[in-house]
Amino acid sequence: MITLDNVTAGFGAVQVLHGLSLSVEAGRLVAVVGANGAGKTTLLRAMSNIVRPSSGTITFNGRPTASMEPHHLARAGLVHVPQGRQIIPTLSVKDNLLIGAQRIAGLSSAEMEAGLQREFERFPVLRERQDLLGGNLSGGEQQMLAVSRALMMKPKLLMLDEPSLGLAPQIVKLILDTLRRLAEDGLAILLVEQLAHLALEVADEAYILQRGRIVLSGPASKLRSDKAVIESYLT
Amino acid sequence: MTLSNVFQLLMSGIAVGAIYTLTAKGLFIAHLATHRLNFGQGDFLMVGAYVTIGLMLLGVPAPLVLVGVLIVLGLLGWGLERFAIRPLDRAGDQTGGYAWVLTTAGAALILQNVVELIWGKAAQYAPPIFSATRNNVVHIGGVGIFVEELAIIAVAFVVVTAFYLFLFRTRWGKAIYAVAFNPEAAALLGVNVRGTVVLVFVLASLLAGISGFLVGPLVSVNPHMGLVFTIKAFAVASIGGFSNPVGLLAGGLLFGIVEAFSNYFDSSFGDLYPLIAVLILLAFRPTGLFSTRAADVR
Ligand SMILES: Nc1ncnc2c1ncn2[C@@H]1O[C@H](COP(=O)(O)OP(=O)(O)OP(=O)(O)O)[C@@H](O)[C@H]1O
Ligand SMILES: [Mg+2]
Repeated sequence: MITLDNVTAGFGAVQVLHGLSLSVEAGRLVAVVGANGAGKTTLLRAMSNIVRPSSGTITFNGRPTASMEPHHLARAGLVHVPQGRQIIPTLSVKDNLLIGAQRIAGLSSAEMEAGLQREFERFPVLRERQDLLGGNLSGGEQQMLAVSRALMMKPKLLMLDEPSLGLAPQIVKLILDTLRRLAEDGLAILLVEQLAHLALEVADEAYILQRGRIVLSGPASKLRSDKAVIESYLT
Repeated sequence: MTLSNVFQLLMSGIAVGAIYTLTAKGLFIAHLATHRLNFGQGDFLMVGAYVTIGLMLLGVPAPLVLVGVLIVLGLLGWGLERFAIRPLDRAGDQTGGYAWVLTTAGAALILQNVVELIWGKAAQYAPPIFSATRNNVVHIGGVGIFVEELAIIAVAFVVVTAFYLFLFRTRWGKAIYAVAFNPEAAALLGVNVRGTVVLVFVLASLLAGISGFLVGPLVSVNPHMGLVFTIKAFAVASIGGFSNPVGLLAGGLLFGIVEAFSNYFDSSFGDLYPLIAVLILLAFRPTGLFSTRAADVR
């Protein structure tokens, strides 16, 4: 679905990502774990072309993304749930759900309505809160809304930046279980997390990011039992 | 002062106030989406008034005049974004963040001089738009009301309503709120941020154009009339609260009415008192009459 080949990116003279290569296939849940400042957010922003990679290539759905604008990528199915969720506080929950879907060419209003019902089934609390302003939701409800809002856009690849941030453990579990199920239904998912033990539990494969470099990668089950990983990341 | 006087002043105040509201809405929407605005908003209104006079004198019927005004002002709004706003984004922090004050004010100076070259310095009066003569009056309950004012109020309210529907009901209105909140997050939702910013400046400019189209028959038109309207639109936006579109309407009408009465009692300095009143109000309520912190979109 997406392949990064030797991608570097940064801000001016400061290089943050040093030649990253990774790939996510349909039906796979891939985790990228790393500490604060490792470059996780920068990686996702580079994949969305918000930070333009300074070298290397990214191929999404068989096409190089270098010439695409972030909103084109989003409409093409590379859907990115940013860090902090970024629910639009002045729009209702329902409008938040629709705003992305309304940008997708050829999505009929019947399909959008069906999408709404599907997301209301997934997270019933959103149905109850649909007329509330987004800013009035709790953190957990906002994260559910952020996931649903992304799914309304018919993603081919779903990228999430620290969905666990600031949430109670049972909400984190709900979100991660949801992602696991979506992957089993065939979606490609890239999950960026600081909570390595949780991410490694649900992921198929994982990459460990340290100061902008991938230092370890492999099947999540193998990394879970890797001694070095346990010592540095899971304690 | 008779009751009939009071009523007529009220009507004049509402008519002018509705125009201030339209002009201020232009400031509001640009500020909402980009945290920038056009310091020449009043000068865009002036251009709208001159284009109106020019086309009316050529005998063009009023609806087509409005279309002409919208085309000219739409292009001006696009040009403003393209040449006075966008280059600053590329320059980034080097411009200190407030360079748009200078570039939009500079664009206003250019417009003033171009209009002066074409139409001259002298004040002009627009022919009435909606009725045969300027003094056409209808009598409602024994009180004479100018048809022109009545029509201006009606058109202004239609535009205000359309603006609300656009902002709150359409997908473009929602895109504006998304960009206002966070441009990067908006882009990730598939919103064309650059296109939305252009749209916002074009809309602001169209609102100034409609204001100019309507204001011609109410005041004398000259190439340097714009600044006063910019200042009054700022005053209205401050009363209403920059983040509150409904407050703008109340603020505009209030300002227009107070101004009409103040001009009645003091014909030489009448314009001054409402502005002083706004200054005093802002000293005590910096967020305006109708806006609370919670209503702010940030
Ligand atoms: N806009 C920016 N300009 C300059 N440097 C930046 C910018 N954004 C991030 N950085 C730097 O890039 C490095 C990686 O930041 P990034 O936000 O990608 O880390 P992260 O892994 O997402 O961290 P966290 O877990 O705290 O979200 C940090 O050293 C940070 O200071
Ligand atoms: Mg981060």
